Amino acid sequence: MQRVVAAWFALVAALWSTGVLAQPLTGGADEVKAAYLYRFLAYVDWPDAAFASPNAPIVIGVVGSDAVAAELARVLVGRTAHGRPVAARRLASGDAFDDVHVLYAGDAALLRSAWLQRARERPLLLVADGFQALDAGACIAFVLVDDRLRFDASLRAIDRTGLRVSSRLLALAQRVVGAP
Amino acid sequence: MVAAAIQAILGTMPAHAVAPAPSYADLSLEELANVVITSVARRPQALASAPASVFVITGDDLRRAGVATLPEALRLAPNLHVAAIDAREYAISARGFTSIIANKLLVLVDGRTVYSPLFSGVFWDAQDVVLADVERIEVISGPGGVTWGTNAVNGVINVITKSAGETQGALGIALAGDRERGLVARYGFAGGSDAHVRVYAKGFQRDGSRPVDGSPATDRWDRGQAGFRADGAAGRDAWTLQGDAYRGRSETRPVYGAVDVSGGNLLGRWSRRVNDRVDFDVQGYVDRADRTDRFLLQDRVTLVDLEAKLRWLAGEHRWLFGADARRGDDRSDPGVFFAFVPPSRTQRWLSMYAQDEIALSSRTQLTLGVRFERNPYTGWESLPNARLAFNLTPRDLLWTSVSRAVRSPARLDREIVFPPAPPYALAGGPDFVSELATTVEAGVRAQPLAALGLSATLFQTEYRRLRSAQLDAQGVVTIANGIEGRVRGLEATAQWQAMRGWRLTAGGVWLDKQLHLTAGSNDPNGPAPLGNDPRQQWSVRSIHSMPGSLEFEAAVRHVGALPEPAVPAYTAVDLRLAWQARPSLELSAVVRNAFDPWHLEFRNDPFTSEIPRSFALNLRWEPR
Repeated sequence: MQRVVAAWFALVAALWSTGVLAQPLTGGADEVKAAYLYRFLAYVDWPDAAFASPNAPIVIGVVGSDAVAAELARVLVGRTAHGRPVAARRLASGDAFDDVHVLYAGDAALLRSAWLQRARERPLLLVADGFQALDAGACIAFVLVDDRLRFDASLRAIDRTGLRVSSRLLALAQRVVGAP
Repeated sequence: MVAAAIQAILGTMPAHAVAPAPSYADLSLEELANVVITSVARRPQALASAPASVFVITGDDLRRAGVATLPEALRLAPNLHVAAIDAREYAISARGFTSIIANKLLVLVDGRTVYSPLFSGVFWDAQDVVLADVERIEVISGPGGVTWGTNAVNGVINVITKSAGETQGALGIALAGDRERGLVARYGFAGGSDAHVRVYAKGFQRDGSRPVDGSPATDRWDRGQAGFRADGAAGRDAWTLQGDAYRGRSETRPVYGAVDVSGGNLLGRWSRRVNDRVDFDVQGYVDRADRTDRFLLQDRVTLVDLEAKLRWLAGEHRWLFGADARRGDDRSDPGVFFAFVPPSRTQRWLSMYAQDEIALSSRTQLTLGVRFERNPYTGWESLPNARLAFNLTPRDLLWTSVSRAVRSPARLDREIVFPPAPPYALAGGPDFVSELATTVEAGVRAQPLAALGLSATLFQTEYRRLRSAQLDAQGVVTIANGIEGRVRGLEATAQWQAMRGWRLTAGGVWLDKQLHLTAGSNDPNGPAPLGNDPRQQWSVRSIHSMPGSLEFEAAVRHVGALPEPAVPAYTAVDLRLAWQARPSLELSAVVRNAFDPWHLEFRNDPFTSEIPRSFALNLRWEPR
């Protein structure tokens, strides 16, 4: 049996040396975006007033991307953040977002609409795609860098919302703009 | 269009106490930043999890199966061999060695080990939980890993109950059947701002089975249990306090009287999240178990256990450190045939373990761990293990492991004598040392379609120094380590959401045991007493959600023939029909062994009994 154990370790070492084990995961952009949206929750503190009750869920809204909305709905089942349940909601342009805590706008053009301009001073984390989204008022923008999905952050937009965002999240951002 | 169809199917899966599906959301932000984006991936992808052969019985599985006791619930795990011996006793094991004194499985309820230090096995008639309050039962076949310790040679069963906060309000269950009846009452309430409590009581009675020699059945079993669980959180701290007390009694048997078991336990756990990367918990419990069985043995054991664990996330490394100290005070009075010498013993165990889960890349983890454990008989033993997990895709996992596991001696191996007074025909095992098992496994977990999940594990274990009997020149038997050999096999499961409202799950185990006496061993019985195992077993469950709030489940399970003593193969069918009459009221009817009035699952001569067909009506009331 000693030989089997030695062979096991030899196999692992051989696989490692071929580089097979070192390969990264691959995934679709929508799945990774939904994962990011969930993961952001742990780094942001919402005031108690943003919730109807101590058990009210944290709501991640999605407008302009059915794929991300569907993936988010699937991914959030059974998950929690800050001790609260998390829920996904699909929104259409013009819908109320009073009880939404994170909003992903799949269509960046929506950012300039009057409807979403109203979101900027609320305790609502606005997320969109592309660096230009930060100029249009998004707090966080997904960017594709070397085939990997990263994100940029806008301190000015975050300050406007009044939300407390952990410095660790900003440290993980590709770029942070509007730093004083 | 395909994505929408898959979404529709997934969206109809019932949301009873659902655990999150593995997905990219399990990755940290750092890991997400390294995922290479492909535009090809369209289907929802899931991240497969543990590099081990695990089957999880969910709370919803338990409800759907309509089971009333823990051993019956364990039949849902295809990697376990569950054999009912009579109305009270079971022989349960994984990967072979099924016996009434099976000793290769570690069983825990909420972190408390429930095996008896008397024989390193479980008295199944003394274990029960409110199944409706069980979150999940993790059944790991194979050496569990450093966190589990000695005894986890062939597997670990981890019963996890829901926290008190998840079981608030009232719950009442009434079971009335031709062979079983029972009542469960539970009430959960808030105790202060951040604490929750639940209290429960349950009673259960099962009629006797049918002895094969035609004698009247005397194994009707009555059992009552009550307990509580309280959970609370305060900032970075979370705590749990729980306890149970139970009493069980069989019928009065001729000559030997009734089998009487009673006991209780109290467990406390405190965990703290020091920061984003470090957390620890401390757990302590006391467990007392009394057993009176004039035929076999009288035993009283009090166990005290204290364990501390620290988890530390450091870049690519996920560290786990732990230490455990246990003390057992055991007193065993002689039965008709057996006695333990000395009758009373105080034993202490100490263990320490460390494990590192290294992310070699975002898709590969190498886990290296070792546990050092000191037992009262052989001193220190080491249990190293290594696992490699490779995600072919986020939802397809290849894994492999190599482990060394140890079953350290128990009182039964060292101190049992027969007859109770000298001259002894069986004089204990003064030189018995730990049994050794070296296991190599390789497995795959795949989700080739969104609605189809498959898993398979190949394993081979070399056993050395297994328990045997050794005769000396005068014909006196001592317990020795004179059997060794190899067991290998294949475990496989499949889950298929065939269509909206219809799910199929299937599983099976194929086992090849080759055990033999070592040179110098003169055991007249050979390896047979170590376990009576089928070469194969399989099960299929068909689970239907129908309009009109109706549910139907049909389960077929087949266990192959047992070699020695011979038990024929059997196939049993269990059926359940349930109606959710109101949001708070569920009525169901269950038939077990529908097509077989009596069948044999295990021989326990001279008390071998057959297991009957049974029918029961269930009422479950849970106001919301």
